[in-house]
Amino acid sequence: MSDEKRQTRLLPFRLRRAGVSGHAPHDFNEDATDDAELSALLRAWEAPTPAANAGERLLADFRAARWRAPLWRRALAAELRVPLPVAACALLALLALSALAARAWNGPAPAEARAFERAPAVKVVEVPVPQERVVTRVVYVEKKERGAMHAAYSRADADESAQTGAKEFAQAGANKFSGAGAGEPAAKANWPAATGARAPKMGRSNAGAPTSYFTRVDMEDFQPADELKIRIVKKGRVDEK
Amino acid sequence: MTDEKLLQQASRGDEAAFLTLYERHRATLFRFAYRMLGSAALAEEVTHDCFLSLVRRPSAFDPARAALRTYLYAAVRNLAAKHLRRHGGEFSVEELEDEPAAAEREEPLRRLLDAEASEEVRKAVMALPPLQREVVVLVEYEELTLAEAAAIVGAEVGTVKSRLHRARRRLRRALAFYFKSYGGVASAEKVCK
Repeated sequence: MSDEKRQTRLLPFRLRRAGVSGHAPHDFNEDATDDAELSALLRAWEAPTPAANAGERLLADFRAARWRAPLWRRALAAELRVPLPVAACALLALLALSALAARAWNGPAPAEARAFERAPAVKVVEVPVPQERVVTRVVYVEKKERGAMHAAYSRADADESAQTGAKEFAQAGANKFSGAGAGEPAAKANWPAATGARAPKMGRSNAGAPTSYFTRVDMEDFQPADELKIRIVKKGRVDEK
Repeated sequence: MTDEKLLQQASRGDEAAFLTLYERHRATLFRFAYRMLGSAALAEEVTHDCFLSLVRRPSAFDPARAALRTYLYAAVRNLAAKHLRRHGGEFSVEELEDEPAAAEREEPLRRLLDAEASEEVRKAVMALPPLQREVVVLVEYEELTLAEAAAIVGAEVGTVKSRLHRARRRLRRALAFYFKSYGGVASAEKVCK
């Protein structure tokens, strides 16, 4: 606030105008006269006329503003004013992004690359696969625990053998009574030769039974379990051992 | 054709409409800029920029808010204020010497007195604060109403009136010698006669 205004505000309202001008309050007609005089005096300051070529220059700029260059030309001529700290930060960020992009573009991650380098070279080896199949079968036969199944299995054979043996035995007895001179043991001893049948390699005779029979078990290829040679064939089928 | 229609055509590239618009307002805008800045070159530059900005951004003008003349005055005022802020309101002496002289009179003494009075008035007006100066220029020189001046400067009418009153009081003091009541102008006229 100016000193003049401050002093004016300190005065009573009706004395303000007088206090500002320094003399008794005058009427508003005097102010109007002063304003008219002032206005007339202000007219003494005349403004010059604008330059003649101002219109031409403005018209040229108007044409330039209306004509829009192609987008690619404007893009090439475009300017961007950026404060230096902002430009430096943007440049650093751009460089960091470029480095990351280049590393990502060149190949896998370093750990994966080292693991790949340590891996041996791949060699193609043809493995001969045997076509033959060797199957070893072990058959266990126990004399004491000859089961009912085995008994039933061999009973049919025994019945057949007993019928054959009895028939031959009867024939041998007839021969004896007819003067052959041989008793029952002799007939028994000569039975295989007389019958011409193949005698079993291992068997037993049931002397108590009226009709004895023999177990037909071929033990020719028998091998004990501890003497078995297990041959494992690789590259076999899944279900083979 | 109204200013609004001319502006529409000019914004579409019509040179004739633009020139018509320019010729219609250039003198008043130039005078206003000149009295605000005190320099013919700066006034031309401000007027030029004002018209170019009008064509480049015609949408900035809203006919519902004010007339185009008021809008152009406000644009010149803003550009002049920008110049004053940038250059601190200082102008070189050479520019003052290059300024065109006042209207020529037949009598040399009268011409001399008018030139002197013109120079004194110019100094007094340029010595005013910018807010008071623009009100004086708009009301006293451009003969706008208080409401129009208030719309241009973006203030209330009472504020404009107050600024005008203070500006007149300052001018009266600065130009007291030329008032008849003080005998300055009256004695000079007597001498001329």
